[in-house]
Amino acid sequence: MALPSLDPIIHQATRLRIVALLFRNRTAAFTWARDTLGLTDGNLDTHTKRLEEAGYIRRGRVLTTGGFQVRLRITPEGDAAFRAYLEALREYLALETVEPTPSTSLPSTDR
Amino acid sequence: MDANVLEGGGLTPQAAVAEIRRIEGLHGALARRASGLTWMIWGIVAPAIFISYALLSILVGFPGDGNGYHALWILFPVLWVPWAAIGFVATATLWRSVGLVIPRRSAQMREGVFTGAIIVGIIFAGFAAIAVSRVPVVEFAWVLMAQGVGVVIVGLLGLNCNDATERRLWILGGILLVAAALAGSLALGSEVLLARQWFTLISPLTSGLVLFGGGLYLTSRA
Repeated sequence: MALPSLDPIIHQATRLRIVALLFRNRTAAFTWARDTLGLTDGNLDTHTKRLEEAGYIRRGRVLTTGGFQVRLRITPEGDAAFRAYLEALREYLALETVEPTPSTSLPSTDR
Repeated sequence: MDANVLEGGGLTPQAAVAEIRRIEGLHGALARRASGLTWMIWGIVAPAIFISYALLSILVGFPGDGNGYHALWILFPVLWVPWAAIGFVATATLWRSVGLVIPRRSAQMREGVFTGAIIVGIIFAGFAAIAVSRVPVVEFAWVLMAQGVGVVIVGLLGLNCNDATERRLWILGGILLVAAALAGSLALGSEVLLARQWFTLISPLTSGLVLFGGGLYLTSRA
């Protein structure tokens, strides 16, 4: 039986953490997400751009008492994509217990 | 395996699940601690309400005692309000602070208000029934029991619960309050005056211990 596909945009360690964080919180300040996930500005920026291109998150600026703040927000498409990803993950793990594979960890092609 | 998984940077589905759980757990612990602190706030507010009423009753006697008119009797239906307001403001401030990290959904805020409405509603419905039926009831015993019933209902409805343990704690805490009220009432029988004295001591202690202790447990396990 074919294993379900996992969304390649979300199925990457850093992007998965970003999307999971936004799925839980809906919105987050860029700096807070960076500190919470232990990422650098550049790393978070690169991955959020990728997610923005896919339409999964939106970046905006809001005026706060401390000046302008960059905020990240999950879009309805991103929300739906993460739900579908979770479902695919569930199916994947359920199938894998029936059909064990030697290893599910494959070499990275994403840099 | 699907080619899509190749792009995962060596991320196995099992590792993906672990990552998602870690992100969830990051906020789950904070929410549980905030819930525990909320319990602790009300573990101070509830005994404070009982003590305020005890002090007022020393001044003017309880309305059911037939002591005649007293200017301060007007305070009986509203004396709880300032304390409840303090509790509400403290709770709202706490969750507003938590909201800097975990944005609360409006449904959760509604649950908090609904919880208060259930408990206050049961207490006042009981007093209305007592007033109509003219049954001699120790006021503090009823309030303690009503608190317990309200807390059990909230637990059964699953309101304000971050997890199953918190829900069990709501139900268990409510049962303890009801049990204390019932045990005291049964032990003291029809001795209303004696029961009133005992419940002046039992009610703030029990509600304080259950709510504050429950909150302490929730914060310590988070």
